[in-house]
Amino acid sequence: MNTGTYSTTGELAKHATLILGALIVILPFYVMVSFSLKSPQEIGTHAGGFFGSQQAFLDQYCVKLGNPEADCWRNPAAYNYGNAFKKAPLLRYLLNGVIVTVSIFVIQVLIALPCAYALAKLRFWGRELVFGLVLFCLLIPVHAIALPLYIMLANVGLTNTYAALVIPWTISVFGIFLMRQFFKTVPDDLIDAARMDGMSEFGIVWKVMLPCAIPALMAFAIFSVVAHWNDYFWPRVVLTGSRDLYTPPLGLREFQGGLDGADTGPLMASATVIVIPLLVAFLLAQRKFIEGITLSGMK
Amino acid sequence: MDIKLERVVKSFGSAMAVDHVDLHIKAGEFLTLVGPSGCGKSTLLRIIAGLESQTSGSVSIGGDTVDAVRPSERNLAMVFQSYALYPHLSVRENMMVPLRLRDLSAAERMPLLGNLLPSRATKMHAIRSKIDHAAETLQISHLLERKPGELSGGQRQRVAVGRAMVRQPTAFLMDEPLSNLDAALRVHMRAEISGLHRSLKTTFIYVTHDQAEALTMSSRMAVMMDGQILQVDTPERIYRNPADLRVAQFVGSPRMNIFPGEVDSLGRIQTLEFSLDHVPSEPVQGNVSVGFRPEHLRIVNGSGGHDFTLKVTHKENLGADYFIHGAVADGNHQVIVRATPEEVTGVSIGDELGVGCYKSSSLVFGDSNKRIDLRPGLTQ
Repeated sequence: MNTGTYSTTGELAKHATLILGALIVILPFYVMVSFSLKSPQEIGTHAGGFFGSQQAFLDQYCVKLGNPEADCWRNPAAYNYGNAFKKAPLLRYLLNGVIVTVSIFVIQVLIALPCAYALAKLRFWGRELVFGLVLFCLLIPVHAIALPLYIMLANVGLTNTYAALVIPWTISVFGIFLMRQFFKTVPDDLIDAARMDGMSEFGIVWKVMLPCAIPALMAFAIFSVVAHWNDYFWPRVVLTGSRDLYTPPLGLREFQGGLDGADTGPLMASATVIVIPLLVAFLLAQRKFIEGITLSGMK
Repeated sequence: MDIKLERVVKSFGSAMAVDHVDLHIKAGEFLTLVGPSGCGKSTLLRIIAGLESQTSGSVSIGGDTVDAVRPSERNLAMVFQSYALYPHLSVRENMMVPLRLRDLSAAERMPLLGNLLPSRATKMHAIRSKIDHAAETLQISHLLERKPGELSGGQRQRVAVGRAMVRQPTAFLMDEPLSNLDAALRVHMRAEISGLHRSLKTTFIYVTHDQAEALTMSSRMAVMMDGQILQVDTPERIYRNPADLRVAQFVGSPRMNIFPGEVDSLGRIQTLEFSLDHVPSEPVQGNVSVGFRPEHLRIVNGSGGHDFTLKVTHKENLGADYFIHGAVADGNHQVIVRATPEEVTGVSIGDELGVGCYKSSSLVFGDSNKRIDLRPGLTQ
């Protein structure tokens, strides 16, 4: 018997599989960052490795506009990132993204926490039925109700507003479900202690349950913010006019129309720019996440 | 202020958790609600606290009916088994919560605006000094800035008591506060809570399933079973004079030995191979149960003089005492006898021992578990 020791080939196979999986996940990201740093020629010929040679290249578009060639030499990275912000109001789009995702998340929390508390900890007639409905709503795909939602918003004249981007997502059944599951694990004694201390039920939700639920809330925040920051479908549906309300993914469209391949670099640069806030937010949340876990000294 | 329960009933569907309970808790007493798990004692405590509403009956505190009064306005404080400290707040903040909510107005509690109100400063000063005083009493002053997660079980327990103390409640309600502690600490905290009761002179209502806690700490204990209070009395009288067979068996460790008996035609009570010297004060017929506590049985060496014999199955050494577990000769009854170490030297498992009974200490229970009073028999 050889229990307890690992066979070398088995280990190798496992790691090979994992490495392959990691590559599949990371490669598109790698290509995006790499292209955002390279000149059009390097992108076209797949030359220059990750960073590219970073040698100045001739901007053909600039030449076509009739500028002297000497003024049209560009550093690739600066050109790509510069154009990302120049060709489209990327900062405006980023701001829109922040306004929309933060509004959605805050309102989702305002609604989901009291609902989750009621479903987890209060006894009332029909509670199980309501919870069943919550689970049922989890099964409805967004795209199935997109059209009716659009028509309703159009009828009340809300298309092309922030409201149209935010309102349909304010009630998150997933959030209610997730928080309800977490609240179930909070001891009843803690709630009773708060009641004895004189807290109202809403006081309990915000001053007792919320601080206990920081880890779950962080998990929900990641889901919610990532989903709505990256959402292309819904903004595309309800924003039909002004580009002032475009969210970052819609902003990427500005580059897709370009006929010359020179736009690939700036496109990848803007894609990188809109991903960075998410990465930063995630890293910050991750630290909070761990703090949240160590915070709960309940047994 | 006295706390009175009148005909309190709590039913969950068809199950009766609390079954027509009447209880009068006098101001300043340490009353223990004791019973096996599921007997309704915690439910009863939660009804007093207002966390659970009774199906019928009423609760009054100091003469005022509080059935429609919110838990926080009953001015009771509760200590929970799991301590139930707010995990995100420091010890000081934990103890501050009940006072902030009671003494500060909503405006004064506002995060920034509240600081501008002059009345807040004086109130906060009073709150702080109350907390410092309570912390000193409980010897947790050095822990005030810590979070509950950084405290040991015993320390959390003290903080929970402190949070209850600061509001100077009419009564402390304690729901098995010691059962999460290890054995040594539990014995220590028993003494500490009794000491706290003596110094505060406030009513304590203490729920436990541990009859030892009830016997050692309370001024009166109420033994509950199946939602009913079987007997309320001082620990001494509950132990010596149980009114019900279930009380007799629940209180005392090891359990009381119970033998089946019957009343013969002369009115004497026969059990095992002997009869009791005492006879029922009122005429009784049929089957009875005869109880002897382990200390009311003794090992009788040599032949003769014993009331029955047992075969030793187990020797339990408690240092000062031994408990001899054995099977009565007829094989149907287990019995526990207390003995001194001297009496059991040389006794080993499987030995046959003679056992004598202090017959005047026997407790006899009739049908429906009710106690039967005895008087000295005519034959004496």
